[in-house]
Amino acid sequence: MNRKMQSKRGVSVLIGYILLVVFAVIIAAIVFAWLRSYVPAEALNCPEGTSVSIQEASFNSATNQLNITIKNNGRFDIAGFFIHATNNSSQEVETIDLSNYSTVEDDVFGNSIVYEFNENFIGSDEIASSTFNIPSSLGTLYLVRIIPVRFQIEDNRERFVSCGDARTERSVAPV
Amino acid sequence: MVKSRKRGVSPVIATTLLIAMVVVIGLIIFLWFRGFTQEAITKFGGTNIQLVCRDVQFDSGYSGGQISLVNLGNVPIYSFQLKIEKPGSHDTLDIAEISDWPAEGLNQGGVFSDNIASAVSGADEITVIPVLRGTSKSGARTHVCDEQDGEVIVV
Repeated sequence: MNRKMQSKRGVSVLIGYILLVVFAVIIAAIVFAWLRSYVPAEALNCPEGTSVSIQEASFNSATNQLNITIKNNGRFDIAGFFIHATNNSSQEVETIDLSNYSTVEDDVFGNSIVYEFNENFIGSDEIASSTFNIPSSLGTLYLVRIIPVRFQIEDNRERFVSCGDARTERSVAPV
Repeated sequence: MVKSRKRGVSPVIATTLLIAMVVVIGLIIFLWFRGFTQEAITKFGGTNIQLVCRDVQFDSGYSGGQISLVNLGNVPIYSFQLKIEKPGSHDTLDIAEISDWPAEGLNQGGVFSDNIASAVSGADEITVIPVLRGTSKSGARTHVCDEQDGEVIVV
C-alpha cells in the first residue's frame, strides 16, 4: 500500500516549482528578445527652440554672387546650415544644393555650410553671412531655403544633426 | 503478478515524457508561427525600422513633370516608393526604376530632382513613401514604410 502511494507522487514539489520557474524565465526571455526592438528610442533631433531667420538673400547678376545673411533667433547655438534653392518660379521645393558654391571652401562640410568644425559657432541672436558663386548655367534663383544644423552629444558621441523643423525660406532679391 | 503488469512506466518517466512532449510541441508551434511573423529589421543600434519610419522628415513636390525630394531630417532615406493613383487604378513603382536615383539614397540635407513625366502621365495623385535600409539577422534589408509615413502630391 505504502509502495503504491509513493509511486504515484511523481517529481517532487521542489523540482516542479523549479521547472515552472525555468519555463517562465525562458518564455520571458523569448518575448523580451522579440519585443525589445519595438521599444521607442528617442529620435535624433534638435532641441525645441532652435530657430533661424534669413535676414538677406540677394543675388548680384553682374558678379553672379548670392549673399546670404542669417540670424540665429532661437535659444540654442547652431553650427551652420544646409542651403537649397530653386531656379524655376513654379517649383515649390528647393532642390539645388548651393553648398559647393561657397566662396569659402573651408566652410563646406559635406553638403552643408559649417563655420567651425565640431562647434556650434553661431550663438543666440548672432548673425552670420555667406557668399556663393553661382554658375551661370543655373540661371535665376527664385527661392532659397535654409535648414540649420548643430553638433550634439548623443549617447556619448558627437552627432551632426539637421534641424528640419527649424527650416526657413525666402525669395531671392535681385541687386 | 497481474497487478504489477498494470503499473506501466514509472511516474518520473511519465512526467519526463510529458515535459519532453510539451517542449517539442511548443518548439514546433513556435517555428510554425515564426513563419507568419516578419523578421525584425532594425536601424540605429536596435530600434525597429517601423519606429524609425515615423522619424523620417522629407519634403516633396511635383511640377512640370519634375519630382523634387529633400531629406529634411536625420534618417537616411534609401529610396522612395511611388504609388501613382490613376482614375480607377494605381501603380506602385520604385523611384529608381523611373529616374536617376542615387544608389546611396538621400542623406541628411540631400536633394533630388528628376523628370518622371512619362511614368506618371494621367495620374491624379502620387503618394511618396520612404524606403529605409536596416539590418536583420540575414544581413542588410530594405523596408518600405507605411503609407501613413509618406506624403501625397496632387498632380
